[in-house]
Amino acid sequence: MLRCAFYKNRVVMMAGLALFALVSGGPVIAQATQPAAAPSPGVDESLRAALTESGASFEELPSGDFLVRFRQNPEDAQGMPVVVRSRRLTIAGQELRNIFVVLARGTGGIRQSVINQLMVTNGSLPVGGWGVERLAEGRFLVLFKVAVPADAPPAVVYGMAQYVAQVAFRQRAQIAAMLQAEQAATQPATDPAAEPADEPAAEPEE
Amino acid sequence: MGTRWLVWTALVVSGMVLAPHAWSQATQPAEAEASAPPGPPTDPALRAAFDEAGVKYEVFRNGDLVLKFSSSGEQKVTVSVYVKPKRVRFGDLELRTVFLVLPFTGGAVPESVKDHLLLLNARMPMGAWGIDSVPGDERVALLFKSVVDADASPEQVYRTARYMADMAMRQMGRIGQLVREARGAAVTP
Repeated sequence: MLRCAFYKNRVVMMAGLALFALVSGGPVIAQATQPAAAPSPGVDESLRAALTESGASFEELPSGDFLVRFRQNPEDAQGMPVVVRSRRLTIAGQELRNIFVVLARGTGGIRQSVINQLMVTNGSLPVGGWGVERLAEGRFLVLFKVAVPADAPPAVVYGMAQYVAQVAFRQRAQIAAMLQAEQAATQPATDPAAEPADEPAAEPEE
Repeated sequence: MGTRWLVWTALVVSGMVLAPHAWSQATQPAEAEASAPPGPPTDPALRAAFDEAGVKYEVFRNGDLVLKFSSSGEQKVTVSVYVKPKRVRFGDLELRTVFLVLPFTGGAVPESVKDHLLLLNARMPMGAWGIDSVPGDERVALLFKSVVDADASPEQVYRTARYMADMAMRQMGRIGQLVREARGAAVTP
């Protein structure tokens, strides 16, 4: 079982991206996951129409954004919740909207090997990038974000949300594997049947 | 020099905006070379549109179109922004990658720089910073990458490239400072 290897600070009760990504569900997104932008003034009805037309199953969030949940398999109850923002932004003459997923959240520092992997992944992705949003009291969010034309057709909006989820699924698996390897490398050679050391067990965040 | 590291003259830093020894010759990222199209060296439609709009550009050896932007002020900095000829397809959407490279020498990218750029990524509505590295090669480069609609007007492509150059120039001082602090700390007992 993954323990607190993800963090330098063992006080933080999270198990690494592989586990707590599973719990970064709707309620989390609904609270405060907007990356530094002001709250949306309201719902973009054209976006709602586009999502409806795409055939996606989605929820409306209190922020006015929409949440589309993707699952890797039928057993994946939580899935990967992707947020499609209602808010439009004009950047360099383009009217855009962001689509993002919060893969993890926690408090304290993030392991440098994870930071490094996120940056290297950014260097190879065709679209979008990983970022870290710092919040009050040392809290942070690890998120992946893309920008799409605000008036993109329904299939594009849905397709890009799907891409965001795919990248997040892949990253979650990679980081989980990396953390397990790191932990295995630092584990003293002991009786494999022995109880784990006295590190606190990871608790997925509710 | 490895084949994946093509020398380019994208970044010209005069003065001491960046940390001494932190930057060297600019380097074409591995991704760019890997995705170079096997067919025509560049997108003739985009070139024609640039020509018609009067946008000045150069053509890199792999077919990328290069737009150059300079800062104003005493310490002049020139940044080259690359526009990929290859279209990236996402369903019905066709995109084109626009990026710039800040090469790094003298060791790994300090953790503080990575932290800083990830924070920026979360706050920027468009584009993301990343690291381009080749296993077994000490050299790394910082990438700042975004996309634009493959059929965007030349003006739109230019504005996107301009935006990216401005963002990069705005960060150079901070990145340089972080590099200096990290390397200073590394030699301080």
